[in-house]
Amino acid sequence: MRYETYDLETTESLMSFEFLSEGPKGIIKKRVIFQETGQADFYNLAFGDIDSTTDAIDDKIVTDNNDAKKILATIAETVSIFLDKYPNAYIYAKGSTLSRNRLYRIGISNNLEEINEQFMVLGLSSDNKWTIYEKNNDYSAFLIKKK
Amino acid sequence: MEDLVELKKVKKPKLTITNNIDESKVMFPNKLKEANETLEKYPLPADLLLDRYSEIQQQEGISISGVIKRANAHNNTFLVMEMHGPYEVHFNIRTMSETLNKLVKTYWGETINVRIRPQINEENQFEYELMAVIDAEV
Repeated sequence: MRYETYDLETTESLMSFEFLSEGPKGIIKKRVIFQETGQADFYNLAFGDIDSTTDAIDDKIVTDNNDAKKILATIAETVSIFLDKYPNAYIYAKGSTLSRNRLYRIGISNNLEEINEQFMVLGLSSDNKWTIYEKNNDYSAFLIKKK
Repeated sequence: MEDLVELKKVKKPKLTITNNIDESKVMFPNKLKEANETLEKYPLPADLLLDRYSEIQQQEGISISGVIKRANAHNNTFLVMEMHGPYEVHFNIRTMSETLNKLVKTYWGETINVRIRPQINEENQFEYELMAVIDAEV
């Protein structure tokens, strides 16, 4: 991983991670969760800000803490840690907004060679077929698995 | 070269195990529902699905534990439902005709532990081959 990442807190199961985003807007608690889906070995990646008073997560909030790259790299790190423990797992990821989905796409495309060394990345294309991820293609969702 | 310099500077994040994260609540239920719907509506092609299992697992099989829910004498398959948290996961398992009859007679509606091998059938669909019945909770 070429980018700086935040330190992480996690549970024994490695299915939930928390970290603190630091920037001009202050310190913001973030959570990444890998949720079991109705299909064996498929997990949904959920990510958002934690409201410190209610412990609820908002996945649509744009905190604009000037650390998008570091946050993306930290999420990627949680994916890597999770897949080390659950090597058969597929992680399903879809940005909560179009712009966040685009951010995921840019993050994957910019680091695809490095990612492909360890992981298989699939994208859900516009004709709703899962295909091996390729740069410059548009995808509405992603699946990531350890090779 | 610039990348190499950057690589040296960046260290792995510190990872701390904690009990302070509450995993009991189902977060983002709508997003999870959407993920489930997408995965159900647009399944992975069978050849990519098979890739989810390592070579060893494809040779030696995997163990599952669940209830026999359905049997099909036409193609000698039966369906075992395994619970994954709140979800039902279905495994369509192929076996021999005699074995299927015996299983249905003996274990219908009970939880059985079986060893199954993932494979692709003639219709290019994902299914499993029964390798062994390990035990059953009678």
